[in-house]
Amino acid sequence: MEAETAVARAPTARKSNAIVTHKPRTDMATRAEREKARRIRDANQAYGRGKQINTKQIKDKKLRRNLKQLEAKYQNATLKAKDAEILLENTSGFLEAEGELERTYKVQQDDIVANVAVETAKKRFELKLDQLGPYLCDYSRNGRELLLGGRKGHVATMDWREGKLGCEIQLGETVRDVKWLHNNQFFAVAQKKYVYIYDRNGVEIHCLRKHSEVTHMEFLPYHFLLATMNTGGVLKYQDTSTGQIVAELPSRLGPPTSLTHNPYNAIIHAGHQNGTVTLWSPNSAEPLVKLLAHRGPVRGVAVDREGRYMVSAGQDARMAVWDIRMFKEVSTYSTYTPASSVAISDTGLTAVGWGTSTTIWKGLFDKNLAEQQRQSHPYMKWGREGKAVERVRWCPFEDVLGIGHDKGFSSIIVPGAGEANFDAFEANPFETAKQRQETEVKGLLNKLAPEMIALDPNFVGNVDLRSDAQRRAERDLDAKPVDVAEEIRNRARGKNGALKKYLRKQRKRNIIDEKRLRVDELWKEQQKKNDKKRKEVEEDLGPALSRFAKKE
Amino acid sequence: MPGRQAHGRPLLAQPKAKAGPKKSKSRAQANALNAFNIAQERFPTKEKKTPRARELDADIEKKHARDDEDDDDEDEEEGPRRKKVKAPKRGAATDGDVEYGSDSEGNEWQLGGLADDDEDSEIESDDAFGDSDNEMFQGYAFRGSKSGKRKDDDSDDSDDSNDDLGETLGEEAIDLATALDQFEEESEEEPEGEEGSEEESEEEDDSDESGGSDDDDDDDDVDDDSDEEADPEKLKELKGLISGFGGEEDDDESSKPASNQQKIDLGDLGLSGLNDPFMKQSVKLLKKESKETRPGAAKKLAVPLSRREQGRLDRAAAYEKTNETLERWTETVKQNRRAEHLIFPLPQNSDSAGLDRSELQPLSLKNAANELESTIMGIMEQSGLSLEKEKKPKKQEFDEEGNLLTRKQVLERKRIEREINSREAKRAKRIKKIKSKAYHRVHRKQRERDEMAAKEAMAEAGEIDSEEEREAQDRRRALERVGQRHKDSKWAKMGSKAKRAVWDDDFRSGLTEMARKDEELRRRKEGKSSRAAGDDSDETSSSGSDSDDDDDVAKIRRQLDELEQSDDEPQSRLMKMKFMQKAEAARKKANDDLIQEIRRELDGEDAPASDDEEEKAGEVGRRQYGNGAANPFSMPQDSSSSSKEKRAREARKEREEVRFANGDGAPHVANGSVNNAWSTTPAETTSSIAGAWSRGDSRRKKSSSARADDLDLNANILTASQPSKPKTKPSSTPKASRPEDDNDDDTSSDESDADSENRLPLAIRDKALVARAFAGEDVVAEFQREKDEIAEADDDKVIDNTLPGWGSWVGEGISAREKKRHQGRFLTKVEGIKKKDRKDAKLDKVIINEKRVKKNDRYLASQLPFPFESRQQYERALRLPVGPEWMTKETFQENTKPRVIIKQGIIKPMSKPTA
Repeated sequence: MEAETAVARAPTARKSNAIVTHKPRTDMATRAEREKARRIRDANQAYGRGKQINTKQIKDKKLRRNLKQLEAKYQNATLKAKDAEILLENTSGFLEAEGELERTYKVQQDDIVANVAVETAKKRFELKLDQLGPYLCDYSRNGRELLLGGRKGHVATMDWREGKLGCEIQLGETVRDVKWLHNNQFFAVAQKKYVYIYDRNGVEIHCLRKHSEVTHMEFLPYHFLLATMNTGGVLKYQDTSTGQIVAELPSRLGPPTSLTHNPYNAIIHAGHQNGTVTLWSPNSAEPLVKLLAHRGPVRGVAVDREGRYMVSAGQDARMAVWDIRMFKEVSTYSTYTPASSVAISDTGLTAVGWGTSTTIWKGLFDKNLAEQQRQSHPYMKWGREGKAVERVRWCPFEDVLGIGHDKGFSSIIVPGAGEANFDAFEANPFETAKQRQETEVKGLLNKLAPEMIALDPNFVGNVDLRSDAQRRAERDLDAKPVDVAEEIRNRARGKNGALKKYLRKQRKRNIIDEKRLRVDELWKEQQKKNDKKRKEVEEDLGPALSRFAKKE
Repeated sequence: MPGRQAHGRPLLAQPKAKAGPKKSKSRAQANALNAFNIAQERFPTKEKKTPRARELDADIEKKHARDDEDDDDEDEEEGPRRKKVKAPKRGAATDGDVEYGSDSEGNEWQLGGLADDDEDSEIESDDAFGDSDNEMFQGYAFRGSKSGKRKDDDSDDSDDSNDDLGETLGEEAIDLATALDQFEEESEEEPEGEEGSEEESEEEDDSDESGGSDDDDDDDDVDDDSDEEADPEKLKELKGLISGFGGEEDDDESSKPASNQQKIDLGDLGLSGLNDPFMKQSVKLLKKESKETRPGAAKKLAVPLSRREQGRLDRAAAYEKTNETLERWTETVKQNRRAEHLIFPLPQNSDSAGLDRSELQPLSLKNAANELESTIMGIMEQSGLSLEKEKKPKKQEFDEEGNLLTRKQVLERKRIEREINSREAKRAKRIKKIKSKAYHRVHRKQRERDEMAAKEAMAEAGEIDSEEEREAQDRRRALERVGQRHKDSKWAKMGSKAKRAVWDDDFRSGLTEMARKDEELRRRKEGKSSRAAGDDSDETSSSGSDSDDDDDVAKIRRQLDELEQSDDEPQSRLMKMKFMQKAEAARKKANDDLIQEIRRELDGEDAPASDDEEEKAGEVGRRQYGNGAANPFSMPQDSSSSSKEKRAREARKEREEVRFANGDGAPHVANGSVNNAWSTTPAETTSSIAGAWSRGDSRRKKSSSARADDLDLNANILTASQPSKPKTKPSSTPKASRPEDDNDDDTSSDESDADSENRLPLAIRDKALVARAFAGEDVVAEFQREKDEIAEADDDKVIDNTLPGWGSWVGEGISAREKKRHQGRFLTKVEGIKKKDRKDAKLDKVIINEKRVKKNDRYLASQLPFPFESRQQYERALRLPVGPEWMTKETFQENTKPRVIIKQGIIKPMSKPTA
């Protein structure tokens, strides 16, 4: 895989450039203890799950013991995770300059291709499709398949490694956006009027008439939500597993200029004409956050894998890096011409497509640094071949950047871009059909509800901090009272004996309330019905055979 | 207190109590403080206080109860009974006496005399013993006075030990009164007229008694007194009675009443008139039994308790016992409850529990565990395969003449040798130091100068071998290695695996060949590398300047002189020995040689010699490859020169490459200047030790223009047209952060920024132009306005709930003033989010929505779940993931392990806790 593409490798562990303060060691710790402490610190940095609580202050003995055990479990889990790093067999590395005067961005694709293994060199390819307009591209979640959409109606899927074409269709109308759904079986195409969903063979499966004149699409894989934004600036969420529209949120900011989603918390980031980027969840009619990133329209937005940083590029020829947890601008860079597309790879490389070239930046942000460094040089460059870049997308788990342009599609090799070690639970580049099916079922079973989307995805289960007065004030007094019978019927829906079982259980409770009375009534009703039925049957069977009537 | 035993056999607790009186005074006092002992003493009495016992003599007990009430203030831990027992004697002696005493607790009492307020002691006990009482006591089996006496002594002892001298008496006295009260009750009809006489007698005796009250030896006197006063028969009986008490007095107090009880008589029972022969016989039996003193004699058993009583006692005992056994399990149960996982069968029950299975000890004859092992060891021993190493034969030392030396002598010799060694070694070290440091420094300078000259000469002659030649040599060497067998080759590995070397001659010869070749190549390689290493070290230590060259030489000479002078050391006795002198001489010679050599070298005589050596060393190096003619190095030179030259050559070549690249690339103007910048360097490069590429040089020579051109040169691939316009404007790009303040870096980034600006299309090269381009819509101001609006909307609001027409007139004709008066009467304030509390209050260019997302509430906990004390605890407890996707398999399995795991097979019960 991408390990071979790395021309020059560097250890993955990045050196922390934070200010080093040499404190005289005053504590009396043995070497082993210090080693242990260091190990724990390292593990916590990589896999920690937040601050510890102070268990010493807990009064209740049992709780204290339980929480102590819990803390031990936390630590154990992080240490084990750190230790398990030894199992990550592939290492990633970047292009490294040998001296101060050598620049990695001077390395051309030809140089790389000449120096990497044959298998890796194959990943560099060009598709010459200069007839059907600028091409959009999208990789499936496991990086296996490529979806291409030409502005003039040409849509094709392919297993790009094998060079095998999946399907190729000419839609005969404008294609505005293409997007893979949860796996390589379905993809959505935003066409002139509606959004259509096709299967892998190019057969049209659905026409989503509610999504009209869509210009941008995003898919949230854990929620099975297809988010679209149309020329009117309305953001719509549609559940692709149930087919329901989950939310329709007018942005009131005109046609969007870019759209992406935060892989960490499934928040949609939309760039607008007035230079703002709005953050949306399907649960709120207003944007959760609105930030002014540029002076002109925002041409491209991308969010890093961990949801910490956002890179946006605008018409004002600037590229801004935002910390989207603090909502602070980290740094800005200038692009030579207004960028058309931005994408961030798994390892944090940022590709910016502008004009006819693409620049790849390394180290625009580093989560381990307190102060972000400003880069003076890009990491790599590509282009100047007269191909106006339309969209750049990173291939997951590969050191490959896909560039859709007006002359077709280019796949270039960028050492160190892909996550070297994939998690087969998550996305398996080598999955078989069976595995794919199982992943799909599992994904559906683990599907997250749209209501779980929030800026902080860990909010589920937290304590509601509203005061009682607040809660009372917010209680909906006009809500219809729940009909007990209806509730029971709803609850008891299911197998044959479900109602009976439910009623039996309800009757066993010794609380006589309205519900219970209703239950009794229902029970009696049912008994009567059964008796009646039985009598009828007995009559049918006659006196001799009536004993064989089915008892209930 | 009455015991439940009818006979005089001591109870279980009695032996313990018996030990009591033997205690010393101090120990007893300590005892008084010892709660445990106190409790132990008291405990049996409680036990004796069974309902059964109470049943048996309820009347007596009743009196006792009253006594207890009266004698509340008595010392509690000292059994009042004992004192009571003693009392009669005292009472008999101090007939009609009044005694005052106090116990250790400060309680005071009056003895003998009639206390006005004391109703119980209205009748004097002594007087109560009238003649008529004789028959009352006749039933008692009065013990012989002898035994009584003996026990009296005992009691005295005990009193001594337990109380102060004075107190003893006092206590005894009051006890006597109380003890005799028992009888008072029975002889209620006793005459009271004797009180007066008693009082007199009290007065009489008061003086002498009180005077000698604190005398312990009083007993005898008292006895005498009583002899005088009371008639002998009565006295005898009383003595018997006393001894009846006294006989038990050192026993546990509970048993004393029992002994009283056992001497029950018909008279006691008020049946004196009864003449039933059977009854009398049984009474006689009783008496006889009580008189029985032989240890083994059959005595009558105690009256068994009723079944109910017995059962209750048994149950109580059983309950305690059971509790005790069950409590042993408490810890086990606790542990198991707290355990996260329990695995059955329990590991401590397994057969191998407690065995250390971690390591196998080596076998030897000594620790052979069983017979088989020892047998096998024996056999091995016999067949010479002993596992134990044979002891090395002791090395024996001989002196020069071949005489065997004793151990002591050997040690002595060793010590001497060590001494000599250290002395000469010290000298050698000093010489070496001189040689190693300054010597080398001095030498290197010389060498460098030579080298320089040689190189220049060579450069003029054009003899320096080129890069191509070098490469060719490397290639040749590599080729030589190609065909060679090496250690890690398949051939070698296969061979070693099959142990071919043992039987295959070909293989063996191949191996030796391989080793030889390997060695040879290694030598060649080393010849070069060692030179390089030497060179490096020289370079690092080259900080010293040439000026102190001569100083160094002088210094070395001086040091050498010193060393030579210090040679003649004081001769110790030890040094007079012959062998010592021999060794010394040898060492000295070596050192002197060394010094001489250094001197010679310093004088400059050594040059040719060292050259020869150099030549010899060179043979292993690369010069071997070329034929004689091809070797351009005929001049004396050493390793550092060649390597330096190499570096210089490399630098030159690289420069050429750079030039080449420039020429190849797009045409640019600034090329010349770059070349100039480089061209200044070579002269220095060759002379200076550090290469032209070193950091210091470049920094020294760095001029901003040159740098800029350099960067341009690098970037010119990117830009087709190079604007020759120099940067006129400082970069307007806001620098977010620049952690490094390094000059170098700073300039370069500046340059690049300027560069990028230069490369921009003209339209947006100017930031001002950009600003103007987007000036149509002032997005920033608009954004700020929106932010303010939202902040305003979310802020606290005041709502006027006043309804026009309620409590006031409305309609036409109402003055404005009237209208105004009714406005703002019912105001409610709606709490919102204050502007300063907003999350985006301090954030620039950000609006954060403060409205609550109601749909998310579904996933919030409405209140803090039970065991948790704070939100942090609860939320922390939630954060530990459970799925296999977020943790390692090991962690996952550990977390999902069931609490109780039962393995297949027979599960033994938990083993009984031992503690």
